[in-house]
Amino acid sequence: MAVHEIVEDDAAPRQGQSRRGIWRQLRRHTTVVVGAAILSLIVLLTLIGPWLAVHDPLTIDPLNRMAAPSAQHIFGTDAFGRDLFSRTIHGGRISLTVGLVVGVAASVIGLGLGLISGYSRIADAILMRVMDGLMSIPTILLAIALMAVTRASVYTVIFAITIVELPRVVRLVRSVVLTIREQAFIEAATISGTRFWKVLIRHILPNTVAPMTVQATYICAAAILIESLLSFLGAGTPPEIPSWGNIMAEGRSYFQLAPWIILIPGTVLAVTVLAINLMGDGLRDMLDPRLANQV
Amino acid sequence: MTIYIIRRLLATIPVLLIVAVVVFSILYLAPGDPAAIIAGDQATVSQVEDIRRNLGLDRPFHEQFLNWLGDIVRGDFGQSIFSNRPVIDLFLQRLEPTLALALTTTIITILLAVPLGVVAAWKAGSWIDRLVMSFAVVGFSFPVFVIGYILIYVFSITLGLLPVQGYRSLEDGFLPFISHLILPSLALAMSFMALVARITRASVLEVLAQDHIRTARSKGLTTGKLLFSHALPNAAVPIVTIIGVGIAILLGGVVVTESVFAIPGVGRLVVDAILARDYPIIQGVLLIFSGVYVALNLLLDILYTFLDPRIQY
Amino acid sequence: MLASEQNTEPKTAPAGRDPVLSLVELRTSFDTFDGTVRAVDRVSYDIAPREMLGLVGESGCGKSLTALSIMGLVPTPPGRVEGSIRLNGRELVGLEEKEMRKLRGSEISMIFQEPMTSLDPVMRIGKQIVEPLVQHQGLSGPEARARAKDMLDRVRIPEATRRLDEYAHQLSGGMRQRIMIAMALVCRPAVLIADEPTTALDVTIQAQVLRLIRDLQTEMNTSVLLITHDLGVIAESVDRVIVMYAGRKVEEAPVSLLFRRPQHPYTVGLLGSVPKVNRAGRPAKGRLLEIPGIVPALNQPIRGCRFAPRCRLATDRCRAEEPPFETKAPGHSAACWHSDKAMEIAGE
Repeated sequence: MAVHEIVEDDAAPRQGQSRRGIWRQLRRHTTVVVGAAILSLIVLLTLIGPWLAVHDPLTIDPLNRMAAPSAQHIFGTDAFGRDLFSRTIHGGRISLTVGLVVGVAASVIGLGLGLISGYSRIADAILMRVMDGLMSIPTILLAIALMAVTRASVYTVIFAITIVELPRVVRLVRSVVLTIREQAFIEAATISGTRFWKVLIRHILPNTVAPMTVQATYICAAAILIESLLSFLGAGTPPEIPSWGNIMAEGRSYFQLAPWIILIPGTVLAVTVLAINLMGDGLRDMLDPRLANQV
Repeated sequence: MTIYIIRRLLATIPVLLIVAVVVFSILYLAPGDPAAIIAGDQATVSQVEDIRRNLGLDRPFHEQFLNWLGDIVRGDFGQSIFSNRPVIDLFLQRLEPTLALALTTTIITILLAVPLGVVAAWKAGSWIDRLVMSFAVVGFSFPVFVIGYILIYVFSITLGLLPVQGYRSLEDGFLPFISHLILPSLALAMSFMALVARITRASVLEVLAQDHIRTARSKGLTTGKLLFSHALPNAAVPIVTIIGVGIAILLGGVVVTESVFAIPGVGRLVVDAILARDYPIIQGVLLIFSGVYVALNLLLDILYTFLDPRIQY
Repeated sequence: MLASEQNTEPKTAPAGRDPVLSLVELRTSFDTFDGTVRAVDRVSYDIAPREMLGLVGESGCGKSLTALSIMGLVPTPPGRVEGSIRLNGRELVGLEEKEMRKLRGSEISMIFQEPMTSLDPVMRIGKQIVEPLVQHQGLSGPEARARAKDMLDRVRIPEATRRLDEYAHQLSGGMRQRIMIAMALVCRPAVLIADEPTTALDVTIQAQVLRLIRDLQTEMNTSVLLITHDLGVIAESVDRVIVMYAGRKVEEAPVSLLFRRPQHPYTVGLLGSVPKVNRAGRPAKGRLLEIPGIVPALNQPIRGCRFAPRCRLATDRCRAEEPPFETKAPGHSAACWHSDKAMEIAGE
């Protein structure tokens, strides 16, 4: 290969270097962008839905029972002739609220418990045994049991799902606290007489933000799924509230006649959960590459 | 080794004890008076009191708990409030379909998800990797019952290939048995497979970067041997761990799947008990499932020593 | 125009013997986001039957990559291997992976720098040694096991039968490297490539392992390509040496000539960085000679001699024109405009 060839050959990639760099950056964040876009669309729909939807989600239309999707009812109607599109949009508010509240509640409570566990050995011993115990009960069964003993309402659903998701957050926060506690800068801070809460605010909290955000996203997705499972089994949100799970639960008996009552809201739910999970995956890769190999 | 197993066995006791406390507390705190429910609508106040005393429901929490725990240790999980039959009998009666479902699901998962994950890792970045990983993300986003209904819609209603619902015992012949199990197992396996394929890919990918893989390649081994005799065995511990975690998903999913496919298993037993607020059944099944989960994970822990000779206890 | 194209490469393999392995103008490059990195640039050399050839250079000079190129283990893409590699007359560049695989482990084998991590930690030693036999010769069962045991005896591992059933973590580093050698030689390959085989080992073990490689080479009629950054290792074991710098071959000579009268300032520098030992066996006085400066980036076109920025003899000519690789003395070639003055910097 002659020198001029090398020169020419080499100039091309260097020119394209910055362009490729940007492309790589964008690609790395594609998952977050796509997830956020889909989720925003769904959230927007549930917010402006009442103005969009021509039908009331609760109005019964006996003449139009189990109508297949058409221009009139784009998602079809359910066994009472109620418009499924309006119901799905309305149900989105409930399901998304459950997801969001559980994500936040589990994170906040888990953060508190995890911090206590990371700082006090006695509390740690007790808390970790309890968390082990909670984690040994299959998630859905524990949620079902909690629902079985409480009066069904949106609040109790949120409470039950928060309880079953809690151990994961506590363990995560605890592991972060323990790792940081080992590190020298905390030691130095303690020695220099900085008070405990200062250490907490300066060192511990900033380090938990990234993994917690990712975890909260996953919990939000999991909560939406669990809500639908509980409602589907008749142990979730009270049946008169059209959450996604309830809409589908009502379609069970008519599945052979009107499969869309389950399949359409089910797909909307799956797309929502998918969007949230994609955001979680993307955030994980962006915020904490170390977590990327775990799940 | 034996000492390790014994120590590990002893370590499960506090966990199981916590499970017992949690399960007992949940139902102790439950609203509604079991004594009143058992006594029925026509009972007088004194009749209800008698039942309460007989059941020990008037005693303080810790006494009730210890009595209850003592019974459980002896294998007595109490009686169903409605049918008056021992919970353990009801459970055993319903065990076969659930066991069959859980086993076929696990087999499907391991046979499909592990090779898929290995291939995805080998072809990392290719279209096949993207396909497998997309499937993993999607599989994790659908609720079990929606997957179940999609499968029913496609294979039973539209194509008419498989029965819509129900269960046939193996005694009725293998074909009816398996044809009733394929769809529920697939539905239940979906999220399990997503989890296992993802972890398999990640851990095999990590192993493929290790020096000994280069050695294996320099020996002129075929890709198959490289992946399945070297890469996979080295990635086995995280994969087995995640299978253990997935069993929890499986045990929970059984309840939902059995509902969708009208399989008369333990899951149906629980759902019926919830609707009827038959607490002893809920308690019993919760405890047994948790025990099974803890036991299986203990087994997997012991399995590690066979998978990786460097792990020694 | 480049010097190497004007001058035909001197025939360096001892006359009268066809080379087992012959590299002609080997180029190995990688497409990266920062352009194409030419890690091995037009390198040619031969290995004669039963010869032990040393390949020396600093880390990153491309010596390990020539080995991986020969083995067909350079990932393509992003890598690219061009030129010619002939094994017993058979062209390896562009050979289908399926065909290449049949040669790896049977015709050419390789051992690596890190004995601690180069063995599969979860497979028994015996099975790992047997694998090439099973793959290439279709052996199995007791027959293969007997061959494996025989190899362990040859690499002088005591209690061979017991060792066959052990795992890598139960063995010491030196022992593991012996296992690697046994595994590489079990199919009696024509060429063994040893990439820094002793670097990770204790000094006492180093000598033993080198001796072992030397002995087995004679015993099994194998040619060896010994890659190292350590001229001390070279001095003790090889017949002929090739010095590489920044992807290029800069000097080639029989080992005694190279040590006695190096022709390239870079080789002089390398020799200077070997701890000198005086007659009494004690380290000689004086500081280790370090070569100042850094290796040029290989993703950019290089004008002139690559070593010029670090060379105290460099002149304007060195910076403008790449010196041809030419014969300086019988059997001794180098690529330097000032090879006659190379020895001058040694004494400073």
